[in-house]
Amino acid sequence: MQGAGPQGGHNPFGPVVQGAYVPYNVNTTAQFADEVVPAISQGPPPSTSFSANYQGAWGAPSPQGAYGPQHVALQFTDTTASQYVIGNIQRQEERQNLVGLQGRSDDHVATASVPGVPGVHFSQPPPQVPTSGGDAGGNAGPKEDYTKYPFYNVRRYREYFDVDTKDVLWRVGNSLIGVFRPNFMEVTMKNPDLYGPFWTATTLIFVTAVVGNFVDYIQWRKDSRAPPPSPSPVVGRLLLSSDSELANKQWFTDYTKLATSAAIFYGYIFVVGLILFFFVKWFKGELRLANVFCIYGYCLTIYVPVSIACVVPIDWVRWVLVMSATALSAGFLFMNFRATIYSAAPARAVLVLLLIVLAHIGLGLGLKLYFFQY
Amino acid sequence: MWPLRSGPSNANVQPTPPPGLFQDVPGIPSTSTTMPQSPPPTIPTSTQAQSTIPEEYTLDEPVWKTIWRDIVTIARNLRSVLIPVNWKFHGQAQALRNWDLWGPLVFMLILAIVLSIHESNASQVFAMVFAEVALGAIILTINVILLGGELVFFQAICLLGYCLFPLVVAAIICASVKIKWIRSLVTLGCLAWASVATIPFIGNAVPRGRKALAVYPVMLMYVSLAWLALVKS
Repeated sequence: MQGAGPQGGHNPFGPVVQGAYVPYNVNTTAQFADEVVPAISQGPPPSTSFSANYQGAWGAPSPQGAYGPQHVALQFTDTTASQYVIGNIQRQEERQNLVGLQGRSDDHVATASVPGVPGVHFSQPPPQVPTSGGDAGGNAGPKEDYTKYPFYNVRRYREYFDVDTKDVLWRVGNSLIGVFRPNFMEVTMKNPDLYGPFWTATTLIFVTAVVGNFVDYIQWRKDSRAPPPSPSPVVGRLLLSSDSELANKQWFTDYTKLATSAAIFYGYIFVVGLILFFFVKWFKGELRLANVFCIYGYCLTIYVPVSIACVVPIDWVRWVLVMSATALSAGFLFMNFRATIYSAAPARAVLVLLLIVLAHIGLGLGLKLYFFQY
Repeated sequence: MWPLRSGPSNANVQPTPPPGLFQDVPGIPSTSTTMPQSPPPTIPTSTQAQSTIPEEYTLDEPVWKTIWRDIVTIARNLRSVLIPVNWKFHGQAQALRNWDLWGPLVFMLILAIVLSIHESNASQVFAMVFAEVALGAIILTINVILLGGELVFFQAICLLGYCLFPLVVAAIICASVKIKWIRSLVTLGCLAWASVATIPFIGNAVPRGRKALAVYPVMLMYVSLAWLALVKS
């Protein structure tokens, strides 16, 4: 923290009259509520004159163990000196994770980004401030320790959902265009999330079903407007009526299709991801399962706009769309897994990467032929 | 022997039952007869001639009165959830403090029945809607908790269930009207109504910066249900 202004702050009301104003000593490192406000009244504070005790911003520690040697006495004064706390605690995971956390533990002892708060005056450097400046935790401070919850408590799994909206949006955007400058793996290494995989798969199931139904409906409307030429009028009318009945049904009449789509999307992310994870683990790689799920989940996001765009009735357009989406996402997987696989198993890295890409191409083909074949 | 409500004259005729026989067992959440305002009924321990049963004792009331009380609770919760007026003024500080699950169940059943009427595979449709609403409510609540929000589990499920009511209206209208643009308009309007009711609650439950993450799955569920209503043949 850099304190500016005269030592101890400048009191615009002149020198302090003894006992006229008792600053309220707030213990901000308190663990329990009764340490913040001491249960017993302390009497006059150690010194109410500004110059006596404080030699600079990091002067002598507060005397007379009123709070104990490990406590910090925060003294709020009414100074108008431009003392503000410098430090930046917002989530900078996208940049700070690249830089690394090691060199930052001494710089960010001031952990509040509140400019211009008058009179926050540390009398002693806080004993141990966690490196929340470089931490990829929440906005309010160091990461909450989730392992204190038992395994059956939902809150224990919050660490896999520790993302903000802008993080999710960045990850989705990176999965679309990140082939050209792949930094997904580095950025999400410390903070993988399972929100993306799960809700991407669910969205895909819903979108493919709805779009499939919509295209069927369009097809039926087109057919009902211009009935196809039929060998005999009677047979033609019969065919048309049954066709219209069939086509106007709701999408989950094809209940197997819904179950299949769920199996495909969830299975691709979680089962294929699991296999890859086991492979990396076999070769003593250092990849977490959550990282694998995260990448696989976000690589499927490209199929959401593609499935909506596949409404166009021209078949070659659909092929182009699906294949380009597959190429983009396969490249995304390839570039992001490359470093890890090379470091884990250099000899077979090419084979593994080829398998990853082939599996993804297989998925793309399957999606086209099964879902986007309206 | 049923305990009697009146006073000393009956106590001489029949002995009062032993105390504690009809006391409410604490700790069992009773979703069927919710009486949040009254204390659990107790039988006074004294067996004197002056023993009386308190008024809140509900075991021997008429059936219609029990049902009526639940209907009133449902109506009150519905009003506080769906009509975006500041009900604090009217004396109800927090929406759905007295949550109940009857309303969500009734609305979910009505929605499933309306969406599956006159379908060729009605049971499949019914099962789909039922499963989607039930699982969806649970998964959405877990999603909010995982994102860092703190809300009471059943209160959130109650709210999500009550916010189905506009979609029930939309489903009923879509099932009776065949004109496409009316259907689309009504469905969109009811979707907007349901969203306005849910989004403030869900959005304020999660930490700032994650509001869209919590709201998006809710919108996904409502849009899928609205779609089902819209394409109903």
